[in-house]
Amino acid sequence: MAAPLVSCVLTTYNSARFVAEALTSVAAQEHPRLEVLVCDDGSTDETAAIVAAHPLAATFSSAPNAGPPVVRNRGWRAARGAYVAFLDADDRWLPGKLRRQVAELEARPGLAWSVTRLRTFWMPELAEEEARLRGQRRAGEVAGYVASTLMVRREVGARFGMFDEGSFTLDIPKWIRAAEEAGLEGSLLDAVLVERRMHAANLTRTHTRACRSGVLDLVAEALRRKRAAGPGA
Amino acid sequence: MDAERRFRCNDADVEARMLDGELMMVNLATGVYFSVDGVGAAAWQRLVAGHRPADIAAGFADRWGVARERALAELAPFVAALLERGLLLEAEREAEEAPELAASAYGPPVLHAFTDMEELLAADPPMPGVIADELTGA
Repeated sequence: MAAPLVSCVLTTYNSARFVAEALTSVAAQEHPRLEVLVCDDGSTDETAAIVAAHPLAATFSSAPNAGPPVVRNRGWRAARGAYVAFLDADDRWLPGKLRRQVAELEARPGLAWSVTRLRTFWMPELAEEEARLRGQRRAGEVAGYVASTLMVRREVGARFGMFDEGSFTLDIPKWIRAAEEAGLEGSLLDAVLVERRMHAANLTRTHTRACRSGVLDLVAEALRRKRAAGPGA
Repeated sequence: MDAERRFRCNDADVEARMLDGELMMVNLATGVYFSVDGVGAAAWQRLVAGHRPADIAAGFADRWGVARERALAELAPFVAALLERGLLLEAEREAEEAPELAASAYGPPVLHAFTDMEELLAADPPMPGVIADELTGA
């Protein structure tokens, strides 16, 4: 294969239940210059075996459990493509995701990053939650400032910095906010190109308190900026 | 506004934190965030502790020498805004102890709302009402 244009960094942690679907959604991109790096966060289940058995030829690496931003950064550093696209193992890309984001970043050299819209789907064990949240704004198609929608220029990592490894949760919104603050322009592509899965082991579910506290950290930073900018900001 | 009603925080959707006398809040269901300072922060602390608006206004009158009627009239739109924004819910409950009134001077309580992070916060925070780790003690 010619040198990759796009590196997919697929992060896994005890993802045996879903990783094959994620890999299949990557394969469905049919991108001719794609490398797939499966970066595992110390799984103790069958994740490695499932990745190895999948027809998509992915490079698998594992390290002791350290949390999502550490694993994503490991993949970012290992990537060879000009563009790095992240995917959490429980989510799925929709067809055309890579092609459309690459086209946008190629057409707009000033863009450092791109995200897309996403929609959420629930596993059967959460049918009650799905019914309760149906119709709410966040249960529909929303802007996806999350890892699975994000494509970055690889060189931005060295020039600006990668994800905050101290942010166990919300590392992507925090990175984007910091990038914007530093003048790095990005784009929300107005198309639903990712499906986010709700299941019993979502990080936002197993670490709800940390996630909610992380949101307030973002709020505190936003209010600090408004105060610094003065009245009317 | 019925000054005799009691309330509680809409904990399922709302995260709140006091920092240097400022109250900051976010409604996870809407992505809208808020700031309240001074008297408004004190009012919030009392409302979510189950104090009735009439009692809160009386406390403000004692603390700052403002007329009780004025304090209540200025508290009413604040409470209405908290309810409208989904931050506060009516509740049948007893009042709990609330912190001392810390603001140095009286001013009408104001809820400042900001919508510039609605999209940024649309996907990543926990879904509203999902507080699963509390169930497991994590």
